[in-house]
Amino acid sequence: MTVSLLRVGIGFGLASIIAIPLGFCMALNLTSRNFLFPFFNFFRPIPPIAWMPLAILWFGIGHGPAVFLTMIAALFTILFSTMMGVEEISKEHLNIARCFQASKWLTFKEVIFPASFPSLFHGLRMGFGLSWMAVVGAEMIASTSGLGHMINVAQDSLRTDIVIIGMFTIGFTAYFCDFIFKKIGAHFMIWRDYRA
Amino acid sequence: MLSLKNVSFSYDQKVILKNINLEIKSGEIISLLGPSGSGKSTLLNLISGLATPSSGEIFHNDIQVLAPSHSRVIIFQDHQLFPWKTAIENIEFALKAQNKITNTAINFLAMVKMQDFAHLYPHQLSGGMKQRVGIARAIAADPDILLLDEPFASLDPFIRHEIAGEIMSLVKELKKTVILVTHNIEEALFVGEKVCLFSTRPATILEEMKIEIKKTKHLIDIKKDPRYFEYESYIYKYFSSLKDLKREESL
Repeated sequence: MTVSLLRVGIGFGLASIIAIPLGFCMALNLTSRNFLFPFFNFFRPIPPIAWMPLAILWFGIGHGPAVFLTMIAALFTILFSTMMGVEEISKEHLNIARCFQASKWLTFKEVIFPASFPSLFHGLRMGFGLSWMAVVGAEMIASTSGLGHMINVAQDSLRTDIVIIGMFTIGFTAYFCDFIFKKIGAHFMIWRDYRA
Repeated sequence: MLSLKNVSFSYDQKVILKNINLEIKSGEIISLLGPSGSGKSTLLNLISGLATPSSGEIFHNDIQVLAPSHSRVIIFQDHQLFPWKTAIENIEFALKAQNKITNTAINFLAMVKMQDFAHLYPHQLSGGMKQRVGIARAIAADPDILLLDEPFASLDPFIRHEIAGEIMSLVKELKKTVILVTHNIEEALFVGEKVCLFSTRPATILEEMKIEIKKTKHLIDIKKDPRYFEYESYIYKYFSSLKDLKREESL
């Protein structure tokens, strides 16, 4: 389980590092949006598992394909949620910042980022769930460790009990991680009575 | 001093405002009164610099208005406080934008009697409290002109009178120029030293009335002055004649 969690952590972390700045950039800059949006929109509907053959060719068997797949699984959700968050900011709030002649950095730091945070956070939460699903799939196909691999080996040796334990472990871990997300959301979004 | 010269504004090939001419002296308080949808709020946006006139020019202290400025701050009907900031943080934003020290924020809240609620979020405040914080935030930006876009319309009638009175006393004390947009005759007469009557679309200012009612702290008290009813009946007649004119035009 630790190996799987580590892979999700790295893949999800990479996805966040790439998708959040890119999402803001695409939402705030028309040129980058026109240039990059069709590209990401094209790759978005491709299921993460369809990347598996390429991931094995690029990274071999082991951590590489699993981390890559978890990153792909979370990337698009976080990217588009960030963009949506920025697009949904109230025009009046931006006008207030313009009226006060707030600098671009102050407007971003104190208006754009916090206003888009609920959508961004929702994307992170969803992305984490998708990463967790992707890592198990990847480990079943191209790994010699992790929960997915454990379930696969158990299936080959007809150990239904281990398969079920593996499934429960996935379920409980995802539930626990989501609980942590919920707590983080409640802490950072106290202003909107975050309960989801 | 604010000066509007032949200001017109069109949107989507529809003329919203046509040839608006207006002179507002420093420290003057005027009300723009007109039917809903006549373009009064659009005029405030033009004055604030948030929108640009299709033709004509606006000058503030002899400098043409081409962009928003903290010297002309708009206060919207629904306060538009940042919901992710507490009352005091909302004020601090206005101060930070002007590169001013933020520890004076509490003083602005005290001006509107909100110092005890400084650390509450907007969703924890009542409508009247939010509007007070909105006014304090606008004042914190130290504007010359306060543009009030129906700021009391969303408040219930019981506190509307009280808040309107308090806020008008405050802006007079601070010697701010105020432009209030409203479709409420009582409010327009209470606030304005001058009331500008709008026509229907394409809107223009058809008449400027100097209001000589003794101003009191309470909105309800202006009705004690007999001239209030003269003004009110004149304004009603004026808007009825506009409707009749429009009906005749459509026939």
